[in-house]
Amino acid sequence: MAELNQNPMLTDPDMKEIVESFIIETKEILDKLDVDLVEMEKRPDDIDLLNSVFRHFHTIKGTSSFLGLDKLTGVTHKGEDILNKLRKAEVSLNPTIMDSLLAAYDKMKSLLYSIEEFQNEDIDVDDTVKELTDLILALENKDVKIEKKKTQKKKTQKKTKEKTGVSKKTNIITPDVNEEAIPDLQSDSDNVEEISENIDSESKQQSEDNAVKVEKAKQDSTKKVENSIRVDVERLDELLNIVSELVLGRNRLAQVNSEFALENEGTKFSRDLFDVTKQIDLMTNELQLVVMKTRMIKIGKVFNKFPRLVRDLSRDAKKQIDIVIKGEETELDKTLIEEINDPLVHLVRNSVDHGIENPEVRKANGKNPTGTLTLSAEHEGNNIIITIQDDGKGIDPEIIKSKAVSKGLISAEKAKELTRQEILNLIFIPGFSTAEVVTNISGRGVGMDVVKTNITKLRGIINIESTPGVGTKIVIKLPLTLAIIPGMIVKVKDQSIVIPLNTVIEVLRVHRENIYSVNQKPVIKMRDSVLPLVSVEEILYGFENKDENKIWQYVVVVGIAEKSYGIKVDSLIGQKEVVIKSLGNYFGKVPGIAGSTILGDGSVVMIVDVNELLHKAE
Amino acid sequence: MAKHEEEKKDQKELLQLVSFKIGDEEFGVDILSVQEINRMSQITKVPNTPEFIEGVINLRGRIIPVIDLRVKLGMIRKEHGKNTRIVVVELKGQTIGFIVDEVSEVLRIPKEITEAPPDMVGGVNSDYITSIGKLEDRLLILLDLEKILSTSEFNVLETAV
Repeated sequence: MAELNQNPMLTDPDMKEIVESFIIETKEILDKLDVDLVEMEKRPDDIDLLNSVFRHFHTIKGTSSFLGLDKLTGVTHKGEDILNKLRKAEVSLNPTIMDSLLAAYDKMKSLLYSIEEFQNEDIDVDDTVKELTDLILALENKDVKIEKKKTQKKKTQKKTKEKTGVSKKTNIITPDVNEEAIPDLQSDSDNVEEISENIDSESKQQSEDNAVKVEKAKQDSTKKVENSIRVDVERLDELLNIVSELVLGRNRLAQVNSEFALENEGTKFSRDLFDVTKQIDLMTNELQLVVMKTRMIKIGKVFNKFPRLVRDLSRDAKKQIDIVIKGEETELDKTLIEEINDPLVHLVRNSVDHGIENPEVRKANGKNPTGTLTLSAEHEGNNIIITIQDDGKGIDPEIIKSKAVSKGLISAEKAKELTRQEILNLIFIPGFSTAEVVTNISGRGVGMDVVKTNITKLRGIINIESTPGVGTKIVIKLPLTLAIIPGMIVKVKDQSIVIPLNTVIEVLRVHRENIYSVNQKPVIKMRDSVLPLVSVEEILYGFENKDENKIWQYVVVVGIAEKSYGIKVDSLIGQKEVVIKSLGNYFGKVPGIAGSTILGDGSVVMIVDVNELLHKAE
Repeated sequence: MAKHEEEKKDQKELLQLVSFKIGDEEFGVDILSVQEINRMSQITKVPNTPEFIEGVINLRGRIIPVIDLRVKLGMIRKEHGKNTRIVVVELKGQTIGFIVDEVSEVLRIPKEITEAPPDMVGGVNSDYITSIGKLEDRLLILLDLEKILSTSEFNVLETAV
């Protein structure tokens, strides 16, 4: 079906590159528009911003009409007309206009999606075009009235709303009438278009003369564009793969070097080999770093979607929410950017829906009626920290506790023993939802557990802090990159395994007498705390724990969120950068295993998924 | 063109197979699916996987799963000896190694000497068998590697874990 409706221009192989670059560019413009439009609502007097929005619309209109994308051109044109009126200060921005502009934006976005996915414009735009045309007509009529009497502004607006409401109704009941009406409307709008286009060119000249600033800014941005090139992601992936192999080769070289040095210590040969190895080592590290950097994308790409989302959500929920974004320049790996979006959307929705109270409630509690939602990102060593903070009602541990007990997720006795932090973490258990009313925003009982699973999949950690009445802060800690991680190599029985270093807190050598038994489970005492002892061979390989008479036991202490465990290992081999390789489709997801890697000697070792391992141990 | 078609016809009538032994039985697989045959190398166990999965090996920088065909076909596990080989097969974009007792030869057999398998052949479930080749002095069991590779069984086991 869809194929039949394909636009010949879009499927023409000669046009392929042009269409592709059109799609990429338009996407970028739409991303910018997303932010700018919402910003414009807040700062309607910002002429530069308005001009920039107008330019974006104008660009899309131009390129899409060149490609013969009539619907996209149509919608964009209407939006441009409205913006032009705003630009010339014929009308001032009000919620009705804003909504129409956003509706136009949404339509443009779905049209672009259809163009990209199905090579057609099979999306009904008549409603939107009509809405926009009506608005333009109304604005024009209003202009006259405004000149006569400015105070009537609001009333007229209401009337127009009513009018459009009525015409929509007729739309449904008697399509015949509608068909007749459309040509009229269209011819009307054609006139409007002509006029506005005239005005357009005039005003352009004006703005060109006047807005030297804007021009400068434009030039700056073109300069920036020239300094970057677009590269297919596949090529970057390939590059990363090759570098990963190189890292493995380097590891192997280092091993050969150390073996060689042992046998031929002090010879010229071994010194030379040492030098070469060192140099290759340095270069590889550098290359790895550079390649990683090329894959980095600013998190702003994800964050910038949120002002619009929060605007729409807070409107639906009748709340007043300001969104503050910090650290949008922070960069992280492309794969992570893609994966982090959904969890963030979920968390933001939660904050809007459950976190921030209604304006009345906030006032009654002596808070600013407008809530604040802060999204921020920053680097911390090899990790990126993303924080979602709201100044809403916070989470009451008592409610969580009773809910978890009533849902049978934990027993009442166990609930009493839990610390505050442990109670808050209960919301990550599958099937937990605190919302008393299920809204269409959130609260269906799925969610936080999915968020947690997704974050864990990215080898990240999610933590929640909340004070009732003051607000909630959710902190997500993610590794910068997914492909290469520092790992600690240990031996368990005859198998070597890698424990990701980001989970390792410390390594202990524990005397047999210092291993105690609590509830028939082994524990050790570390300083003030008691750590459960986990046996990898038991959990993963199913070996019986034969209670060997080892006097000293190596224990790797690992931490996930606020919990710590000790993992029993037979020997410690060392610390290395390892390249994570998937086990492939045949295995799918193996419980307790994050992947595998190839060591310097060519052997394959498993990388354990500490989180899952501990989960199984519980 | 004509020549090409002739070749095709020939291929239709002749099956080119790699044959190997497991226990007393001799098996054959289509030569086109076989990528290489390797001596045993160090196999790393993968935890929480079914018994027939021996583990993974490093095949020139790639990590590929290795299946003990003996166990998979329901025979008793045996220590690997000096004749043990890993037959590396590429099928449906997946590369997988099969451990066999020994690889015998590459042979061509005419298609008409093969016939549909009986329900049970030498203790091997007939689901895995495409056909039986009747050679002059012996029988050759032609394996359906896709069936063996099909992950359904594996997934069942995985969810059971």
